[in-house]
Amino acid sequence: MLPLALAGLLLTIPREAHAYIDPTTGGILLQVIIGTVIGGIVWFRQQLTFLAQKLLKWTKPKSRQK
Amino acid sequence: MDQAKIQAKIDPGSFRDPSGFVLTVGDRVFRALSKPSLETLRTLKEREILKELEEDALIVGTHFDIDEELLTKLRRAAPGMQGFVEHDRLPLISFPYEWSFSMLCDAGLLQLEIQRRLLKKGFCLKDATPYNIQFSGPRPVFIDTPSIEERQPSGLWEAYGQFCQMILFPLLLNRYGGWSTKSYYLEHLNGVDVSEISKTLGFFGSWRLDSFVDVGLQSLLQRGGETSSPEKLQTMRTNRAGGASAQEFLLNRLTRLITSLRKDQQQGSSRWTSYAEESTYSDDETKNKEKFLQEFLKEYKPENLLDIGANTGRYSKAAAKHGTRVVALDSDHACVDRLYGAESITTLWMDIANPSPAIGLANKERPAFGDRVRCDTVIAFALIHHFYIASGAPLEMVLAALCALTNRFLLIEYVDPEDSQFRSLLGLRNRDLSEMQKDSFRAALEKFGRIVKTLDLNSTRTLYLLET
Repeated sequence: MLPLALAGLLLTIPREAHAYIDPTTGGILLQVIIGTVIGGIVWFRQQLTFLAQKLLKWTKPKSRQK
Repeated sequence: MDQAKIQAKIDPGSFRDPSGFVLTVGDRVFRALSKPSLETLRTLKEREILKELEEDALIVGTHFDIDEELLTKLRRAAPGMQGFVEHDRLPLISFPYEWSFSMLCDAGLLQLEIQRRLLKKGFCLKDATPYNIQFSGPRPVFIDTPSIEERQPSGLWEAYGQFCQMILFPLLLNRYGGWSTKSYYLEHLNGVDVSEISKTLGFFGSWRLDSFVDVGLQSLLQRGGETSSPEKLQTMRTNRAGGASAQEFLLNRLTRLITSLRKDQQQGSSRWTSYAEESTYSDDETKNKEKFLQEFLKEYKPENLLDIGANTGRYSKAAAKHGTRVVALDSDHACVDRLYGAESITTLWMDIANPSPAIGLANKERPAFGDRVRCDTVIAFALIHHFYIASGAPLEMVLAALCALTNRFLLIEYVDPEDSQFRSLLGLRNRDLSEMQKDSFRAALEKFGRIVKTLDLNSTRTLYLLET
């Protein structure tokens, strides 16, 4: 659900796109899906890293106290 | 000819992209550029991206300094354009229907590599047609500099659809559907839509593990997208999810797919790939033939040479060693694919009895083979019997077709109708072969120029050096 929600959010930011060739509907939709999945993975990894850093900060002072 | 009198000519095949087109002034090649294209190219130069691509031999040499006299001519020919650059002249213009499978794979891989490098620097290729690539010797080179533009803020590569239609699909159809890439390109100037490809490959072909994303899934989405409103699809084009990482993933996946297709191809063989080992020549005859060519190369030092019926390239390689730029042509795909990669040799897959026609808009967009290729020397060793029998044409017409491709010399091997190879090719045809008797052949040859030298290889084969 997370990647889909992210894609939905990103789709709300319209920008003009020009091309003299036909980018093809299938090609665009396929890339949107790939982008959503990759975007979701990147976001999820960032969140994990963020959480891991928080956890490290939280555990370090405690171990020093001991 | 007086240089001042030579006018700039617009290439009639260079009209699709409004941001630039090709012009020639005599032997020199220029490109007229629109304002945004000129600015992009200048930025690429300033940031040394162009230099890096040129140094790695990925892109054609591009020069910004053009003298005022030439600029005046170019401005007169292309009044609406903002700037001009000069490109290094390539030895030959060839088209994808003349390339072997491995050559097509390499052309595709080159586009992916350039797109990957540009992506990192904030640029991209706005189109992905193999007509933007030429072969300089055994290496593909990107020639269409106005194709480079600033990267879209979205993570999408707009040229992905075209890349599939113009490069990936013919490779997949050839590998899994037995299609000829030559007929694909000749029949479909803009490629074939993914839905048609999916139908042709069938369910199992479309959903193969290696290509289901580009065929099966893309076709499904194409059909689904046809019912969506254009506004919705337009908004989709601005999708930023994944950004550059998603595109990199796409490019890496395509690179892996084409690399694996190319690897499988290298095993190709045919009845002609072992011709050199199985032919009727004795060792001495082969050596004498090579010596005849070597002596010619030493004496006349031709700048470029067209080897017709090159087979596995024994004589092309000998000429390339002398510093001659060689175009090696053969109608046998496996032979061309094997020879491809040899230094200083540009390979072409084509039947000389049926050369590439002029195709595209007004038959001017992609000129015929005969209008693109002229060499100092043409060699036609062990070819005349194939050409004569396959074309069904009178000898003089066959010789005229060969002489039309050379500016000066024709090295030709005469093959007598009594020769075992001639008889085998003739099969059951009941053709009058009197014009192919040795004396008649010589007389016909002399109508096209002066015979400089001859060498009898054996009782049925003779070499001639003709100066046209």
